[in-house]
Amino acid sequence: MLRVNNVEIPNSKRIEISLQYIYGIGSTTAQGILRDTGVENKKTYELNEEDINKLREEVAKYTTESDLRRIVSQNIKRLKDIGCYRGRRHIAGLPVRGQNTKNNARTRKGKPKTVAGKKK
Amino acid sequence: MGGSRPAWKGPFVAISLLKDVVALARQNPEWWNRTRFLGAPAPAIIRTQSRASVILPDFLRCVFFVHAGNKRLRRIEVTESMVGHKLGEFAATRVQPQHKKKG
Repeated sequence: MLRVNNVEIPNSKRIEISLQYIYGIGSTTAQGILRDTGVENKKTYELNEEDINKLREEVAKYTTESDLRRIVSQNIKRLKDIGCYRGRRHIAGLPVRGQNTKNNARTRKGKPKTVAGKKK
Repeated sequence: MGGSRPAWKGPFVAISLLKDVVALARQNPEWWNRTRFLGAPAPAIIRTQSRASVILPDFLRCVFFVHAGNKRLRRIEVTESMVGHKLGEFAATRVQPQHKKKG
């Protein structure tokens, strides 16, 4: 276990995968970081201190974790405040991008709530 | 969502709407040039059906009645953070469903 970027504690997987435990770093960014730093894609525990420091510096160039979360929530708050269609969908907890809601949409709507009185 | 609009075209604004805004500005130069930046409300309301028109920075503080279907109009006051959105985004066309209460 090791810390990159204050809080993140990726584990004993390959470093390309471990980096993705940081919020804001996915597979493309992780690959990019390895390419830019020239660090070999070894298991995380096999990396030496020099490699890890290089990675730390590189990761610091990206917007990650609490900074990124704050930006995202600010964007959503802006939409809610101005009362536009997308903002209203966020407030209502319904899909924002025009998906159907007759069925499914459970990711946004949460656990199904059964409505009584619809028996034959 | 499809492709995005080419930058060279600029934002879409209906000609009729633009004419109305220009007319408002001509009639109330004091408000247009100065007092609206100090938070003064618009002297007149512009009625429009053009929901697809983009809100330009010049529309700040303008008040619109935007068509919301079936002759219903929604009152919209433009603030800074609304710039770049379309008028229709602020004028809901659906009525909030009122489900039958139990009992």
